[in-house]
Amino acid sequence: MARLSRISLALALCAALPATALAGGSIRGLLVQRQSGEPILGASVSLDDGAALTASDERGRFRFTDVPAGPHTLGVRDPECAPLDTQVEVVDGQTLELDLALDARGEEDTEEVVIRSPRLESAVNDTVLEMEEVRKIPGTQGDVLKIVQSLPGVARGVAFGGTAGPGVIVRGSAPEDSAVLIDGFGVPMLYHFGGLKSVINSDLLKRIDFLPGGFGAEFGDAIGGVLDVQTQPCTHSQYDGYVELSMIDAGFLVQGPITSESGFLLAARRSTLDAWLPSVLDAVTDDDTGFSMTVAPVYYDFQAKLDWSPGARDRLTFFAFGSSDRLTFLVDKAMSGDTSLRGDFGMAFQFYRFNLGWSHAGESWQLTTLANAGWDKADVSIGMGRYMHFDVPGGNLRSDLEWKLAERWTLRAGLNGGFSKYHFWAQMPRMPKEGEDASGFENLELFTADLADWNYNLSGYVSVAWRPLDPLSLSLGLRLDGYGGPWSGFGASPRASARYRVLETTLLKLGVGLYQQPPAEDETADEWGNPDLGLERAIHYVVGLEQALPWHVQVEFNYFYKDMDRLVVSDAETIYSNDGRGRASGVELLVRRDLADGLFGWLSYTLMRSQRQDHAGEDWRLFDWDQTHILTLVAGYRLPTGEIEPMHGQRSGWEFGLRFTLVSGNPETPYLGGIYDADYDTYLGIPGQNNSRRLPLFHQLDFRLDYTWAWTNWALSVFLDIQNVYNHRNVEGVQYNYDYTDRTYFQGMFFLPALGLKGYF
Amino acid sequence: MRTALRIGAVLLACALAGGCDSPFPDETLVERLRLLAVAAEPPEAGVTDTLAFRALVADPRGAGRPLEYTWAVCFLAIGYAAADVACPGPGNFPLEAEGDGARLAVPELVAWLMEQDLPVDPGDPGGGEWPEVVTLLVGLEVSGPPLADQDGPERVRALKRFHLRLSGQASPNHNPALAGLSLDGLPWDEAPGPNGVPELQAGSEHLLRPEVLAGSVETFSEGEPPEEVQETLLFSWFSTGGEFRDQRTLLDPLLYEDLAKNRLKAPEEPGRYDLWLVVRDDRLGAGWLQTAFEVVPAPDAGD
Repeated sequence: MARLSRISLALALCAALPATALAGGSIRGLLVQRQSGEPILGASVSLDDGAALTASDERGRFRFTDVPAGPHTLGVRDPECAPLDTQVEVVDGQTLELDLALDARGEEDTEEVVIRSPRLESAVNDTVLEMEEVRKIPGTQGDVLKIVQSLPGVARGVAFGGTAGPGVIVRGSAPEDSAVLIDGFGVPMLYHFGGLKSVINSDLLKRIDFLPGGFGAEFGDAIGGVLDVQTQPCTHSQYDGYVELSMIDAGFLVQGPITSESGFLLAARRSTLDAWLPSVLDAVTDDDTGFSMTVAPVYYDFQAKLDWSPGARDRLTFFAFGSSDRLTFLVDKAMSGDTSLRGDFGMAFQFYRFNLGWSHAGESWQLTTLANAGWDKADVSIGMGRYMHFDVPGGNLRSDLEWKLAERWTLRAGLNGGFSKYHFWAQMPRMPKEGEDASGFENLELFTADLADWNYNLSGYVSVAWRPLDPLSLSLGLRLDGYGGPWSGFGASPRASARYRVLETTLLKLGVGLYQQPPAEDETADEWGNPDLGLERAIHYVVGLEQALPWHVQVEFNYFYKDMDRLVVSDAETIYSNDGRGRASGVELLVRRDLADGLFGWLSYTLMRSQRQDHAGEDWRLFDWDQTHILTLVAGYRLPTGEIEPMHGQRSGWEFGLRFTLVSGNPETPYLGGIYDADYDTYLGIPGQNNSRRLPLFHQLDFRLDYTWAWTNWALSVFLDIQNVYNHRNVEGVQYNYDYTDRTYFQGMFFLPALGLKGYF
Repeated sequence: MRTALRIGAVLLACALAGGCDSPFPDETLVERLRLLAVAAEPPEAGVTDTLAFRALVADPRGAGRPLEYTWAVCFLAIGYAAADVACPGPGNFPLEAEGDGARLAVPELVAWLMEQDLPVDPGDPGGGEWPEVVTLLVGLEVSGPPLADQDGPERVRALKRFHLRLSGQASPNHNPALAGLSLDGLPWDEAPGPNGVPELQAGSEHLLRPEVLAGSVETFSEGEPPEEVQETLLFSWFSTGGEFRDQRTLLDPLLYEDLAKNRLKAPEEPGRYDLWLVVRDDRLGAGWLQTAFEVVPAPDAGD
C-alpha cells in the first residue's frame, strides 16, 4: 500500500518541475475540548493503529497527507481528554475535513460529536497555505513559497527580485522589513537569486503561515509581515523519495523510518543553470558589450532532519539546512571613467542553520525549546575597487510555553537569546535607501570599513488569551527586545487582538500592536553608519471579517493601517538618521475555495496606498513599491479518470491550472536631464519629483496543463506550463539614454512555454 | 547582511541585463552641444597656486554660434540627489570665464571662504590634522542661443573635481597628454588623405591607437602602508559620425593585453567628420586631442 520508492526524472524547457503529485487524499482536522471549546495542543493523533502518527499543533490542528483512499481508523489520545476512535473515509484527490470535540476526562459523552468550533488565534491575519493546493499553480515551477507573492497585501516584485532584494513586499513595507522564519528561526533570504527558487525544498514543508500584519507577540524584529514556514515531521512508517532533474536544478529527497519512533529526511538541490546558460548568453550577447559570465548562477541547498518521538508527549528534532548562491561575471571594458569599474563582478550568499528542538506536552501545557547555531556569509564585489563582505556566525536559544491556566485562560510566553560575531569589511559607496536616486553609483565617494565585534540579543514575550464569552476571545501580549554590542537598543512592543464570532460562520477580528526592528548592521557601524540610530517601528491597526460560505468557500475582508516612524533614512549630517516616517493603508479581499471535488483556488484583491516622508517637513511621497491595485486569480481543477495505483500513488487524468495577475505599475522618479561628470565620463541624472510617475499596468496570464498515465508499476506525467499566455510585454522599469535626455521602457518576460516530463516508479 | 543582499539583487539585475543592447544612439556619437571633458591645470594645486580650467566643447550643429560659459567653485558632496547640485549656482565662488576656460587663484578662494562663515575653515584645522589633499568641485554651464528647431537656449552642465594639496610632501599629479593618434598603424597625419586629413571609405573599418606623451603614466603612493601604484589611463572616444567598437579603452601597464586600441567603422555618408579623443588618468588628470577625417564613397558605391 505504501509507496516504497518514487523516482522522478524530469526534463523541462526553461522551467523547473512541479513537486510530487498527490496520492490518495488528505485528512485535515481540528481538535477542541468539547466542554471549553479550547483547542487541544500536543494530542497524539494516529491513523490505522499507528501506521501514521502526528500531533496537534498549538491551534489544535493536525493533518495527514497522501492517505490511500478507503476506510481508515483515526485515533486521538490526550491525557486531559477521553480517548477517541473513529472511522473515516478518504476519497481520492480530496481533503477530508474533521472538527473533533473530545470530552474532558470524567465528563465523557457517549456520543462522538463533530462540530465546527471557534478558534483562538493570536494573529489577526493568518493565511495558511495547504501544500497540495498550491504545488501545481502555474508560473511557480512547483515552488510553493513563490505563491506567497499571489496573496493579498503582497506587492509584485520586479522580475527576479530586482532591487526589491531577497524578501517579500508586504502591506507597503520594504522587503527587509518582513521576517522569514523556518521552523522558528530567521533566515536572511527566502529565494535563490531574488526569486528563481525558494531556499528550501517545497516537499519538506508542512505549512506556510503568512502573517501580513497584526501578528502576535511571539514574533519580533519585523515591522512588516512574517512568513512562518514549518517543515513536516519525518515519516515513521515508510521509505519514500525521489530524484529530479530539470533545466533549473537537480535534486533528491529521501525519507523513512529509523525505528518505529524515529525517522530521517535528507534532501539537496543544485542548480543546473550553469550547464547551459553561459552558452546561451554567449550566443545572444553582442561581443562588444565586454560582458562575459565566468560563473553562471549556481545555487545549492540542503536539508537534513532527524526526529524521535519517545512517547506521545515528546518529540526531539534535529534539523540542518543551508543555502548557497553564487554568481560572477567579467566586465573587461571600463563601464565609466572610473577604471576600477571593470574586472570581476560577483556575489555569493550563504547561510546555514543547525536546529535542535525538544517539544514536550504536559497535562495542561506544552513547552518547545529550540537551540540553533548558524552562519551567514555575504560577499559582493564590483570590479577592482568595490567590495562588501559579511561573515556572521551566531547562535540562538528559544523556548516557548503554552499553558492553559484555567478553563478560559491560556498563557503563552517565550524567551529568545542569541549572539553573533560579525565581521563586516567593505569599500563601497553607501547603497541608496528606498526612495533614493540610484543613478551615478560609480561617481559616489567610497567608504571603507573593517569591523568585527559581538552582538547580543535577548527577547521575551508573554501573551494571555482570554475567552470571556464563548464567541469572544481576547489576546493581550507584550514583547521586550534588547540588543547589545557596539550598538544597543531596547524596545517594548504591546499587542492586542480580539476575535468575535458573530455567527457560527462569521468571525470579526480586531488588532493593534507595536512592532519594532533594529537597523541593518552596516547602518549602525561606526564611521560607516550611525551608531546612535534607534529601532525602527510601526503600529499596525487591523479590522477583519471572515465569512464561511457553502461549497468550501471562505471570504475574508481586511482593512489595515500601518503607521511607521523612526525609519532609517540617509542624512546629510549623520549619514543615517531615524527621521523617516511612513504610512500604509488599504483593504484586502480574499475569496478562497479549499480543495474539494478537484477544484480549488482564490481571488485576491488589494487596494492600497503606501507613502514615506524622508525628513520632517518634507512632502510625503509614494513608497517605491506602492501598487494601488493588486488582483490575483488562482484556480486549479483535477479531472481524474483512472484508479489510483498503489505502487506509486498516481492515477491517470488531467489537471488544469491558471493564474491571472493584474497590478498597478510601480511608481518611478522621472529624470529631468543629466549633469556631465567630467572626471568619470558619465552623467549624473537629475531626478524630478520623487516617485511622481507610475509605470503602466501589469497584467499576465499563466496556464498549466498536466496529464498523467498511470500503470501498475510506474507512471508518466507530461506538463505544459505557459507563462504570459497572451505575450503581453509588461513594463519592469525605465531605461534612459546616456545623458538622461531620452527614455524608453524596459520590458519584462515574454511568452514562455515550458514542457516537462516526470516519471514515477 | 540586508545591505549586501540588496546590492546583490542589483548586481543580478545588471548581470541579466548584461547582454541587452541599448535602443539609444551611442554615447560616442556627438550630434548636439556636448561637454566632452574638463581639465584643470594643474590637477593638483598648492594653496598659493593659480589653476587654469578649460573645457572641451563640441557643437556640431552650432555652425560657430557664440557660446556662453559660466564657471564656479562649489562646496557640496555628490550624493544620490543630483537635483540638489546647483553648481554653478547661488552661494558658490564664481570664476571669470576666459573663452572656454577660467582661472582660479587659490588665495582668493581661501579669502572668500574665510568670509563665508562656513563650518570648515581651511585656515584653522582646529587642533586636528588637515588631510594632505582636499577635493574641491568646479561647475561649468555652457549655453548657446537656440537653433532653428529649438524653443530656447541649449544648455549643458558639467562637474569637475580638482585637488588642493595642503602639504607639499608628495609629488602632485600632472595631466596626461596625448602625442597623437595612429590610423591602421600610420600616424594620423601621415594616413592617406589630403592636407593631413585621413580619407576613409564609407563603411570601412579601421584600427585606431592613441599615443601618449612620455611621462603621462605616473607612479604614485597609495594605501597604508603606502604602495607604489602606476596610473591607468582611460581613453574616451567621440566623433560626429561612424561607430566605435568601444566607447572607452584602457592603457593599463599591468596588463599585457593591448586594451588601448579601438576600431572605427566609417560612416556611410561621405563628408567631413570630427573626432575627439580624451585621456584621463584616474586621479583627476585629463587631456585631449581633436582631429577630423574625410569619408569618401566606396569604390563600388556608384555601380
